[in-house]
Amino acid sequence: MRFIARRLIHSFFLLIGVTVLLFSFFHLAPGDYLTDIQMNPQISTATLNGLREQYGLNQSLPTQYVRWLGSVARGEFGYSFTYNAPVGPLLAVRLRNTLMLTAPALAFAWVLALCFGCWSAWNHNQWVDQLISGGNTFLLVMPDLSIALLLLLLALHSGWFSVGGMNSVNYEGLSWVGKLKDVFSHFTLPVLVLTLSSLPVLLRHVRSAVIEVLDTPYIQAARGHGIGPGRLLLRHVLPAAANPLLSLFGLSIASMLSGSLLIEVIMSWPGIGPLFLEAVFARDLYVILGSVIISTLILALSSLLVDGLLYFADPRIRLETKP
Amino acid sequence: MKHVSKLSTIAAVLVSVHLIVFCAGFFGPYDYATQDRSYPYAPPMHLHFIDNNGGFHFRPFVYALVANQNIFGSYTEGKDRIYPVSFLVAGSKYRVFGLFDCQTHLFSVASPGRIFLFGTDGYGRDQFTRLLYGGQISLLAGLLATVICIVTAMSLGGIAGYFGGWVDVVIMRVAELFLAMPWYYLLFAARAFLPLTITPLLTFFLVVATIGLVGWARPARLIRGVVLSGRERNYVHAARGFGASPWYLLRIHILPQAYDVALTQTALLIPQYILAEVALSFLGLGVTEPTASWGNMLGTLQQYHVLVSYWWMALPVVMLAPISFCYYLLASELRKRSNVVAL
Amino acid sequence: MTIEGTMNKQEQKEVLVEACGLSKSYAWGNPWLHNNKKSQALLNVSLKVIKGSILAVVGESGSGKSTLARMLVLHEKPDAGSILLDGMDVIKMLPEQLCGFRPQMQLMHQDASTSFNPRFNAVECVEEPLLIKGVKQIDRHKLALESMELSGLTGQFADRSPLELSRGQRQRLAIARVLVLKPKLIIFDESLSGLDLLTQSHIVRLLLDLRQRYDLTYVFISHDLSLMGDIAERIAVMKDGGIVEEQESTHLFSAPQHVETCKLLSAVPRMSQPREPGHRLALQEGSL
Repeated sequence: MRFIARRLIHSFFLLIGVTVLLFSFFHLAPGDYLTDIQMNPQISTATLNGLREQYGLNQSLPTQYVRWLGSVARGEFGYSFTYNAPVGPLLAVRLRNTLMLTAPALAFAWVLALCFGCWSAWNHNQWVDQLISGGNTFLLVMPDLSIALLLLLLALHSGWFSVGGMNSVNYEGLSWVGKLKDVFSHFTLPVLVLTLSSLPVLLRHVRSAVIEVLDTPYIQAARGHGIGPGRLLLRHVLPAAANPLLSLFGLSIASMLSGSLLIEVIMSWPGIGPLFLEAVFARDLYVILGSVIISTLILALSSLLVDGLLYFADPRIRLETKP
Repeated sequence: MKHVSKLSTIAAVLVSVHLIVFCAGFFGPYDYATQDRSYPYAPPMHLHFIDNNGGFHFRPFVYALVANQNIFGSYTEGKDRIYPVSFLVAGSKYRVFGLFDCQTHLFSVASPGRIFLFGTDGYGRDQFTRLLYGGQISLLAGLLATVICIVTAMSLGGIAGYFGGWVDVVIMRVAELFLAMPWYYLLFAARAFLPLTITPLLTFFLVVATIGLVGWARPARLIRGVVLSGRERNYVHAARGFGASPWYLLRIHILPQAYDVALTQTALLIPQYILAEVALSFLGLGVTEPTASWGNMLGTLQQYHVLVSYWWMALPVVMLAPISFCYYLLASELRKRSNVVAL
Repeated sequence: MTIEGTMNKQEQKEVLVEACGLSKSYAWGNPWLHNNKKSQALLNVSLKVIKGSILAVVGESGSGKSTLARMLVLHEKPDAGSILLDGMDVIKMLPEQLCGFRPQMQLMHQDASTSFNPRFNAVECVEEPLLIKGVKQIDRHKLALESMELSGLTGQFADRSPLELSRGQRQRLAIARVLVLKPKLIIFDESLSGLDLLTQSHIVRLLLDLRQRYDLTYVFISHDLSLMGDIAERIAVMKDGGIVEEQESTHLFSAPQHVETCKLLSAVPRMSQPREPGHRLALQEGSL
């Protein structure tokens, strides 16, 4: 329990540190939301200054920070200049959509990585292994941009999947089942792309971790006893490989979040990605801040989860952290 | 020995790709910005050896492109006139490495013929030439950003590892902050508050600096680890006994121990940073028109009808995978070699 | 002053280094979490090193010998006490003032192989102290080669990597490196242990030769009491961070005064013929 408490406090301070870092950077950088509008000669300086005052952009850095913290506490996460609304609710909807993509993609990627990784490791250096490793390397070197564009090309030519956005034009008029089917057909392509782009790294590490564990004496002994591959892998090998694989899980969440940004924009899926990009172009400070904080928060929570799981899974860590 | 030759082969391939790309002016028949409004979205042209009458030509030739009046972006080959491909012709001026002007191009066809090996885009700009020029930007961005990153990482990691104490704590905590954010979010946020409406050259350097400086944390941690053990070596103690300053020790004795790690990290980071530049330019946050970058060439594909109707616009994507593959092989070879040495 | 002179006229000996009341303790652990551990490496140690003499400091592992050595060459600062060099207290000096003194006191470590950077070749290793001092390249090279000659390494060794040399040759290279700064005092921290007896005797002969030529002062840190008995004029015995006995070596062997000394003496393997001073140095001339 002490361990979890310590990690929670650590993550909390980490988040605070991130917010301070970002906030300071944004305020030190030249220009703000109104810089582009400034270029319009029709808007007078007086109007601009008034706007600045209204948005609170001319206050000092600590004041703005404290005001923002207050806003976070209220659940608003600041105010979006472009949307003229609190950031919190905006982000919440987008977050839900992003999670709708990333959670299944992560699950699929891991399941596939575990299956193919174990299969490949079991038949180490045989043709199955070579084939899987070869295909994996091919996927590995393809950047996610390439995978996305190629699959898009395929989908557009064949018409198998709907592309673009989350809903079709006639969404509102569909029945309940129809709506579900519609969302599903839109969501297949992005999830497929996300899975394929995360899969290679996971598979590579699963394969090498399992190969390493398969070489250990006690697994050899278990094999000698005649325990079949399925049971062996599930009950003996994977728990032993849990340490590096759980750490990898934390990293995979980070890369999945990064990757989803790009994919959502390409596929026009209404997740955090497109909102974030819009805010970047408009320099909508609080939306940018909110998006980065949310994604950092997800990452921090997941690494906390991973550390907790590691603590329970690996007795060595329990011994290390004993006072 | 086998390892060494594999390493040299990969290195040779990479060096030749880079050379070709950096001599884009020579290898490409046109300039990257010349628009040819009469040929928007021309498809890749075929090279022929046998003409209509069955005659064989040693020199490959192309037919003229005749625009279909009714449909935009549709062309047929005008079989009446052939344009043979000539080599080492004089064409538009270009600068070699920004140093001197040159006019020779590797191949071209006589005017009014055109040779669009990879087709054209909406403004009639030759995609083959733009691919080469775009490669200059994207590959150079990757290399420069990696250099910036590794130099920063070695300095900060070296200082943190050597001096220890509060310097170490501060640097490592800041590194933790950087690592706590997903990479693209951090990159885009950093890019956000730097000016967007500046010259392409300035944008290029700004993008490169951002990519490089945002990613310093992970290599810095690795280097710090090497430095922590490296500073305890006896020859470091001996040199300190002779009165060496910490900077001398770091430069001559301690950091060289981290060269292996730094080299492997370099091979891993270059493809990542090339991709980062491509992603930024793709979304419009990187290098802007008319400078070509693989990213902004792919940017037009965000409109799906372009992707469907004009498939050749996606060709930069094809270049990325083999280059990433070469760097991947390079990184594996370097890792193998450093393991061998460590034994 | 010759060695015989110092042996006879006790009162006229010139003290090169004097340590008074040195103390040092090491702490580790996290002070915030209240699990500090402390260990006392040196406690109130006082020692005089006579110019031109050979002093041996012996004791079992953990008695503080290496810490004392590092303090005497100014590599570490003690928590308390003073070190007098030519009558001046160097502890209180600023680093800039110390610059002149540091090259005069040199420390040689035990393992010569790891004290060379594998990326350097032999002559570069020897040049390094000069490089740090800022001597020009041409002079550096000349001085380094001269130093190597003195240690018995001919010019052909200049371009070899230290890893290619034998243990004895590496030891000579280390000596060359130490000599290149023309020090007055050299402390050998277990430098002679780990060598086979033949090489050891060659090295000791070389060292004695050099001492005569350049009027050097040696301090040997060792746990080999029998070897120290042969070469050292005075022996200091340490235990648990303090000096328990210090005497001329012959007196030490004939009339030890402390329990610790007796313990160490009893551990020395007895040879069949009676001991005479210097018998282990009766060598035949040999190659490297």
